[in-house]
Amino acid sequence: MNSRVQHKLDELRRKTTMGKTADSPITANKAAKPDGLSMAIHSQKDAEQFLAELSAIRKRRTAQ
Amino acid sequence: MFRIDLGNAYDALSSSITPEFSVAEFVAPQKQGDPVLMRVRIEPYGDPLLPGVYNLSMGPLDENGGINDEVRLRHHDSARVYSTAILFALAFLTEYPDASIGLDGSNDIRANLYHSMFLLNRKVLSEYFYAVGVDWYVKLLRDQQDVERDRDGNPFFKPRPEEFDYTRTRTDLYRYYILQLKSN
Repeated sequence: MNSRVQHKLDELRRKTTMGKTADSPITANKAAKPDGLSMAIHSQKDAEQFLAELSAIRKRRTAQ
Repeated sequence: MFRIDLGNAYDALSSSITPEFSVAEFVAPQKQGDPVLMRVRIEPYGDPLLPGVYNLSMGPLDENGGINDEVRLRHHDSARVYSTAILFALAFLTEYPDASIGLDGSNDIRANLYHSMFLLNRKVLSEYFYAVGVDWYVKLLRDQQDVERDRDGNPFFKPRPEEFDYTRTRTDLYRYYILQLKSN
């Protein structure tokens, strides 16, 4: 990894609460709005197929 | 259009990375007026059928403490703003390498933005991420006269992800964009 990027990542991590909700965060969150992807996932089967395709892309790329 | 430079991201004021909700805040100077407090949020995609898929959004805070991702801002340095969001995505994926982070391209302005970002920043992004584009497709019925439809008679679209095709120009946008952590 580029050393400038590594430095920025390290800097960000130093300021980051990991693995649990931050003690004093910042401001409250609002639920994400549904978007187009939800509208194209109609069933468990669609979702499983979508995730399997995503996983296959990752595996193919990793193997390259 | 902007060039992503992760080494030139703005410093976060604070941030939190958890599987349920991750957020970073930073200050973005504007071309006119006061700097704006920006928030980058990564959270599970709202659909329980899609575990491991996260949504990234960014914008100034609205009056309810959420993100206003509709407002048009004139950042002093848009490249730094987007580099900051992408750096946070990288930090998140480093913690949760099996996750996928989605960028919703459901309106043309955003889809154009993401598509251009992927095209223009192929080299830097591909150093850390796999880029995925998602199209909607509709099934042609066997009679070849019509397409599959839902109960209301609307075409029954389904998502089809593929490795981002860099030959596709902005006249052929995807509907959804995904970043996955590159394995090294």
